[in-house]
Amino acid sequence: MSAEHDHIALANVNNDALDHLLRDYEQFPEWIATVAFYKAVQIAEAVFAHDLSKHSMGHDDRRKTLQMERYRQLHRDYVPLLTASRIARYLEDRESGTTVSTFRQWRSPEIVRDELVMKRLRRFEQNCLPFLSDAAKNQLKKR
Amino acid sequence: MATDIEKGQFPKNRIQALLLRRNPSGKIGVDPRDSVRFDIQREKAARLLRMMDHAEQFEKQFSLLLDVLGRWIGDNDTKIKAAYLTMQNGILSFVVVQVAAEYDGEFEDSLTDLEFAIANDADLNLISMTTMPLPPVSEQALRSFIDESLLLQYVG
Repeated sequence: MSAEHDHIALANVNNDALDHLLRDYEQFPEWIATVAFYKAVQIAEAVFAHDLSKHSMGHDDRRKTLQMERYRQLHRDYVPLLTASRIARYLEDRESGTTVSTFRQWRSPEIVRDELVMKRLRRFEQNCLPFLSDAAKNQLKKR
Repeated sequence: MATDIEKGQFPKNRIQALLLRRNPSGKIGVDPRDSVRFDIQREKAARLLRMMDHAEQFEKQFSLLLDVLGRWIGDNDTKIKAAYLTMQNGILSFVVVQVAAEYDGEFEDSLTDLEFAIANDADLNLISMTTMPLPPVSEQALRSFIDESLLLQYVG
């Protein structure tokens, strides 16, 4: 299998995990945000493999590639997915008494499901399709 | 002698940032008493981005970057509680703390577009920078997203 298809296969595993988590979306918004981002990571890598024959060396390298003009629409949804996953994983401050001390205080589980997954991730997938091979387009499990 | 590195906007004032202000000509800069500290911070940024061999050009681009970020802050100032230029994972990071406790997708899109514009600005070709919007978090929480060894804060 090509690198493109390997990344699509991993994206599909993340998609299955997302389906599982979304059944109980009120309990796992942080993990939904994180898995949604990692699905986007794998799709972006599939795009790079097919479109540029490139493999990213980490998050910053991937983000830099997405700053290329041809990927403008991908960048616009990828960065918010990355930001959400970072805040989901690192914002935890229940002792200071501030208004927003956890990810789910900032984004309700409904917003994570409807805005992050059903809007951002879905749009990211749709915008990636023109950069994938026909076989990968068919293989990808879409939101 | 008193320093002009003032305390940040957070109640306990533990985060120390070099303060950036808009001068009467509209350019972003620091108080003259902080100019040496500013040079040190800019040199750190140049070293971080491996631009020490292009110091003069980097200096101009860094100054332009501060102006571009300052203009964006001016256009969005009612939504911004605090804005920092710092570093994260070896590149510059523009961290913006929002006033609103609610998620604002339009604001996030605007900040993402700013990152894209800077990355594709030929006059800023030596600059690598990402953006990071944050909800109104505590100073303690902010520390997870900034690096205090390179920290410039916009205050005016």
